[in-house]
Order: sequence, then structure tokens, then C-alpha cells
Amino acid sequence: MPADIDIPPTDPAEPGPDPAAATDPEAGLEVEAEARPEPDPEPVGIVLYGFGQRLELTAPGDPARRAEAERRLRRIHEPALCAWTLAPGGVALDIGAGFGAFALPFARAFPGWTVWCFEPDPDLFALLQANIAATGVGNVRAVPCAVGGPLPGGDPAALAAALEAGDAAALPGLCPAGPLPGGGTGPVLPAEALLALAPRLLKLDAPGTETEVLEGLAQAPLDHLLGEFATLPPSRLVFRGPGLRQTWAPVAGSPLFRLRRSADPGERRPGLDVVVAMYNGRDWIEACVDGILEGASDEVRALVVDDGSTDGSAEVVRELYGHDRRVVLLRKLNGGCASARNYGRLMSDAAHIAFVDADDIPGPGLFSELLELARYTGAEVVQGGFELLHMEAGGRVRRVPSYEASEPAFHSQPRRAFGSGGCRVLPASLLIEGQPTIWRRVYRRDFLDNRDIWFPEHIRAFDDQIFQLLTLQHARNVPMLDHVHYGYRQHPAQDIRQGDERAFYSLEMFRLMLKRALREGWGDFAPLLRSYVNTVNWCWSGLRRDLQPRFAQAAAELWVLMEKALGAGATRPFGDTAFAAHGFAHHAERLRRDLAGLGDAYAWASLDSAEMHVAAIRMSQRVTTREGSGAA
Amino acid sequence: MPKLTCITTTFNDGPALMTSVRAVLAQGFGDFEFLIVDDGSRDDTASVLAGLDDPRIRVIRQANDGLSGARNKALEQVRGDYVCFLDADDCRPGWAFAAIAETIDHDAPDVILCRGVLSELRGELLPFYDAARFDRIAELCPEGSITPAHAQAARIRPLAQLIEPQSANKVVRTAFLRASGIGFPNTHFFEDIFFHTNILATARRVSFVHTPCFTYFRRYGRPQITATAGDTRFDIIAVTRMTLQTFALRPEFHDPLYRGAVLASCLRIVEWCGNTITHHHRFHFHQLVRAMLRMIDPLWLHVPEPVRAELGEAGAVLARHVEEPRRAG
Repeated sequence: MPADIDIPPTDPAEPGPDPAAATDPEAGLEVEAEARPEPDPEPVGIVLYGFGQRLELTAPGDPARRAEAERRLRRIHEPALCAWTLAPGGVALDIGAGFGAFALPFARAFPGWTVWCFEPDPDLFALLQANIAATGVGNVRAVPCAVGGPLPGGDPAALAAALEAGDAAALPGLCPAGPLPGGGTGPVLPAEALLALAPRLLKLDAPGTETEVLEGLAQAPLDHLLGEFATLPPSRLVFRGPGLRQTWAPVAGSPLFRLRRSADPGERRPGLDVVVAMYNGRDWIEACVDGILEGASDEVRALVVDDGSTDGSAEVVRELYGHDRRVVLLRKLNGGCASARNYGRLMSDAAHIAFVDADDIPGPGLFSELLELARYTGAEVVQGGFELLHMEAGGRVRRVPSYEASEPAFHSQPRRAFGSGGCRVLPASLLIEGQPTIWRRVYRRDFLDNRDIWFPEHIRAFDDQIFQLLTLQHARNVPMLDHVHYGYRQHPAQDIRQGDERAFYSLEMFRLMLKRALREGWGDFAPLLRSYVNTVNWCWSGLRRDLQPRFAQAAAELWVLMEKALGAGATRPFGDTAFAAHGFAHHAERLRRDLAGLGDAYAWASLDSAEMHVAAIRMSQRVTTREGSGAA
Repeated sequence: MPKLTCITTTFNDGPALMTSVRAVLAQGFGDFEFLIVDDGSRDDTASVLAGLDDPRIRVIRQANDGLSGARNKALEQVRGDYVCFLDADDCRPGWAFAAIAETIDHDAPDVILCRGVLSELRGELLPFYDAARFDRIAELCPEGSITPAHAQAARIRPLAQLIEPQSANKVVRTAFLRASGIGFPNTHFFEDIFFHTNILATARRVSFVHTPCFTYFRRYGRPQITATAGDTRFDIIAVTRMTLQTFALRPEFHDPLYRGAVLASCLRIVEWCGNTITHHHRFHFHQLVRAMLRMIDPLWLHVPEPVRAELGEAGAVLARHVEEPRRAG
């Protein structure tokens, strides 16, 4: 039995076998007659293997067209039908049926189904009819029409009657005339008319018609949708509507954009919930929520979590958005920003989630475009750009681009058009040690749950940093849109720049991360260690002078614990000199001497210190003060 | 007796079990029985099973004994001429059993190996990891079936060994399996490589089905048991040892290319486990790997350079793991 040939993946992001095989236009096709090199060669007989069937078909003489059909069968149609379980019967639509390379093996493999084929090209249609006759399949109807959007003319009632009666031959005469995809004009069947067939499966390979066809079939009970798209129709057409809508639709020529929907039993509600953590934000909240909603479809909701505000913020939200179904107000006892974000997540049932701050202003279209990008890439994390908003006298806002705008590494990846702008895929390593910017990202909820990534509830600073490190550690890369931005509002007194005990939260956080990294078996600790160096230096530079000695000692101790837990090889590239804190090297050296002779092991990450706990530091300050006053 | 038995074991899969059940019951080819082993589930799996009403389904309920034990239990009960496996949350396309039955009728092989599809974490549907090996086999064996007498058998059998050990990709003749006494290594995960190696080395006729017959899903929603970084990963060292021990008794052991392929296919999994196991166990994992390599027949560690070259990318793993302990030792 001759073998069919798989064409290997071409996505550079996927490990795939030898791509050379993909360049062979004859791959997988057994040509029985010689193809002549004329511009319009005669059709040839081929043996086609698909869906477990072997068929002898007549195919176009042009080898490129045959290779195209074979590639779609092998890379799109066959994997999709291999991963999905079809009902015993139903109606399938094959729009852009060509010579029948999908419809005929499908009709053989799924005899309970009826396949309606639409092919406006007269030569291909002739081959299709010949192939139907030659293979003797009884469950295929062929119509020499294009399928598109609504057009003036035609007779909708007569069309519906002919479709219901299964009268394919009558259809061309009943369709309005319109432009054909290949040029010229001809009969174009309005997609909406196909609702009369109650189709359960749609195979769509008609470049440029994707949006009109899917809009026309918005109310069709589609369980399955597959094909190669030339355009990017709005994803809601796949994530909404009756039926399962399991989808596998790669966009031609772009390994990055592939509309996919798995429709797993555990699938969450399609859509994006933007969690807004709000504490005493009555002056800001309107700009924030308006920013989320501006230009967004109702697939984007704002979950405003009122974290026990005392300034009437919740009432403001209720007054402004009480009648807007896209805004949900959730109230809880005060517990800090991390707790508000986690609470919003616990209350969300959406497949995608984002976390923003009530005093920031997401730019128009940011979240709806990111939801599109998330659905077209399947990525765990996607992001937009961000800019700094400086408040000036008279309520004016001065916008300053982020450091990324002038950083070449953010512009060196190939750019692909997407939405109203463009997309680049950034390696996660480029972002992981940068400024924590978790608020301009959209996350897959199943990814966050699977990796057990939360905001640390009791760590009242740096919670963004832990979240950023963990999400990016586990995401291979991050697709980024360069034309939508998050506005990050700058206040004169930024929260963590106070230079108080909260700096010590960073030490507790990094120790917990170290433990986790060891437990989870991370292969690369460099981002964690680099991030530690940067954070310790950043904290030190703004720290109150009276806290500096304790911080230097505690930071040095954690550094030595890291060394003992990971082995000196892991920390060697940095060296004590990477730390700016006075006395750091001295403290580290002393501890190394004290611990000399004790072996390296993961267990060192479990050794804790009161100097790494903010509450203990505050407590010890009180103890010291009381003793001091007692002695006086 | 049905032509085919499909075995699915389930442990706390709940409604996810329906992924495999629906796929099996939707097969266009109907002459099969479907054996489901409930391996001591403690969730709503039992009620999912109770809701199934198809005369072809037989359910075996047992106290938890692990995946290998559950599959062995099912193997005792097989009535079909051929037997295949499907994990509870994976699926097969509607044409799979028909394509398999056609190959059975045509070749009556001891073992069938099938192509598959990988559903990736980001939802991409891709040819399975071993597509390139199937391509190579298709070139060497256009007729799709081999015996040891086949002109290219010496090259195809090692290639077949390097196909993913994965249980969904194989169909085995029941009488052959019973006569050979091959099963899964009780109490161990990473069981597939033992079964895979032994049935391929014992089979006289092996056929290849080039139409994809299963889909393996990676999902964030459902972590794989072998994907945890915990001490389950030590099992691969034990299973590798048992695989190498049993293979060393065969005449094929003295074929350097086949031997290299067996060692490479085992060490590839050992390496992955060692690179991803929790750091709590990593030191001891590597100690145990080195111990295991010292305890096997020394001939295993003799991998001539031409063999490594022929194994290509799969041979690189041998250089990393076989040469190191020898130098160190």
C-alpha cells in the first residue's frame, strides 16, 4: 500500500522535522499521467489519501494547485478532523471546494453526512463533478456558485426551498449575480441562505470571503469550522453562536495567526474580564473604566473590585455604570491590591483575564485588540505598549512613551500586520527583568490556574513583580501589539518609593520564589538572580538610612542562601560587587565563612530570617524602642 | 469475538473521560469491544461510567493499582483479535478503527504503528512528534509492512523503535501478545517504553498506518500525571533498566544500530525527566541514572560512531549520557 506523506510544520516557533519536504510540490501525490509544462496543463489522474480513504481523482494539471490541495488536507483538514469527534450525521458545507480533495474523502469517511460543495471556478467545478461521478459517492452536492454576503436581487424564498429540497442544479439560476473571488461576475449565494441547511460543519477555503460567510452563518448550529483563511475575521464569529464551534483556521502565510477553539468540556465562558483593583479611586475610576470600554465589544467586561474604599468610590461606579452590563461592581473588605485582583479573578468565569489599576487609563481598543490577538495566537500572555501619564496643572495630561519605544530589542523582531496596527513576538526573557507591567497584558485563565500563579496576598509591595516573573518564566514568548497602549498614571509620591520597611517584602518574595523555582525544577535561574540584583539595588537606593544596614545584611544573607541552594555556579556570573548596598560583600563573606563545610542543597531555600519579614521588622523596632525607653 | 478491543484506563478523569468514550463510540467501524478500567477513581468518574449505555462497553472496577496495573488487568480480559489503547482524555478520528481493520485484513501483522496528531498547549493541531520518522519509514517501505526478512528491515526496525513509545499509536495482535507474555511494568509510570520496545522486538510482522489515527492533547486545563516534577520521574530509571535488561536477552541486542536505537529512545525520556524533575530530587536522579548505566550489560555502552551518525539527532543523546559516565568511571 503506498504511503501518503506528511508535510512537516513550517512554524519556526514549533520544533518540526525537515522543512525541505514542504518545498517539493509533488509531495504525497502519485501522478499517473505526466503533467505538461504548458501554462494551462491538462488535468491528471492522482491517488489521494485523506481521512483514511484512498481515492482515484482527476486533479488540475498545474502541480502547484495539487500541492496546495495536498498541503491543506495534510496540515489543516486532517489534523482537525483527527482531533474532533463528529456527530453520526449532519450537513457539511465545503466553500471553495476545488476539485473535491476535502469533500470526497470526507463523504467517504463520514457516510452519515451530506456535503454541499461550492466552487465558482468552471474548470475546477467540472473536475469536481467528474470526481463525484467517478467515485460514486451519493452524499455530495455540487453547486457552481461562490458564497458571500447579501446582494440585491435573487429570490431568498426560492433559494431556501431549493436548498431544503436538495436541488443543487436549481441554485445558480436563483442566486444574485456578484463579483467572483477569481475575477469576473457570476452567481453568488448569500451565506445566510445556507441557514436553511442547518450546517454543523463548515470547511472554508475561499480567500477574502471569511467575514461575510461567517457573518451570514452567525446563527448556524456549527460544531466544527476549519480551513485556511486569507483574512482575519472577528474572532467573535467563532466564539459566539450556536454549536460547539471547534475551530482550526490558520491564516495563509502567517505561522503566528491561527484561529483556534478547542471547545473542551472545561472551557470557560469566551470573553475577557478586566479586573480593576479600586481603593479610594473616586477621582480616577471613570477614566479607567471608560478606557476599558471604549471601542470594545461586549465580550470585554470590567470587573471593578472595591477593596473597602472609604471615599464613596463604589457609589460612583454604581451611579455611572449601574445600567451597563459590561461593568460589574464587586465589593470586599479592604485587603490590599493583590487581594482585590485575586478576588476579581475568583469571581470571573471568563477564558481571558487582565488586571488593571483604578488610577490608570487603558487606551482605546487596547483590550479588545488584545483579546483578538490572544485568540489568534493562543498565547498564554499577550500585551500592548504602555506610556506614562504625567498629570499637569489644569488637569492636562502629558504623555511620555515608555523606555521600550527607544529600546532596539523591542523593534528587532519581524512585524506582522494585525488589527489596526502590527504585532511582534517578543521572547519572554526580554520582558522578565524589565519594569513590572502586568497591567498591559491579557492572560489565559487556564494557564494561570494550571501554573498556580497568583498575586501574593500578604506581600503588600512587589506583588506585580512576583506575578510578572512567574507568568513570563512559564510563557515561551509574548505577542505584542505596537499600536495600542496602556496609560500608566504617574503620581508625585509613588507607593513603594517611600523608603520604608516595605522594601523588606522584596526579600521575603525572592526567598519564596527561590523555593518555588527549586520545587518546580526550573532549568534557568538567571532571570530570577538578575532580577534579585536589580531589586536589591533599587530598594537600597531609596531606602531610609536607618533601615539600610539591616537591609544590606538581610539581602546578603539571602544571596548566600541562594548560592547554597543553587550551587555557586549559578551566582558566580554576578559576584558580590553587583550589589550596591554598603557592607553587602562583607556580610556575605562572613556568612560564607560561618557556613563553610556545609554542603549545597535545595533545603537552604527553607532557612528563613526575621529580617526578611516586614511584620517582624516592625515588631522588633517596637521592642527596641520600648527597651530603649525603659533603660532611660 | 470482535476484531478489535480498545482499552482505556481512567483515574479521576470525571467528565474528561467522555473525550475518549465519544471518540470510540463514534467509530465508523463497529466490530469492537471497549474495555474501560476504573482504577480506583474517587471522584465523579463512576457516575460518568454509570451513564454509559452501549453493549460494546465493559467496565472493570478495581482498587487503585496504577496505570500499568490497570492496563494489565484489562489485557487479561481482552476478547478481540487485536488490542489497542486510548488515554481517557485523548481521542481518535472516526476513520481510525476502519483504517486499522483494513490493515489487519491486508497484512495480519503482529503490531501496527499509526501516525497521530498533537494538539499543543496553544491549541495548534500539528503532526505528531514522530512525523519525520514515519516519513523516512514510508520512503524505505512503500508497501507499509515489514518482516525481519524485508530488505530494509535492519534500518526500518531501529526507526520504528524511535517512533514515540506512546500507547495510542499501536495495535497488537492479542494471540501474539499472550504468547509473548509482554505487558506493562506494574507500579511504574513511563511504562510505554517497556511495552513498545518489547513488542517491536518480538513482532515478526509490523505494519505502518500513515493516516493519523489518534490525537494526543496537551492542555493547561488537565495536567498530565507524568508532567509533575515530583518523584514519579524516578520511574523512568527503573523502567529503562527493565527495558534494557529484557532487550539484552534478544539476538537483536547484537545489532549495534538496533541496540543504539533502544538505548537512545530510553535515554531521551531519562534526559527529559532529569532536566525537569524538581531540584529536590535532581542530584539523586542523576546518581541513580549513573548507577543504572553501570548495572546494565556493558555492551550497551558500546555505540560505534557510524551507529551514532545513522541515528542522527537521536544519537546525540547517547553521546551525552553514555560517554560521560565512562570517562568519569
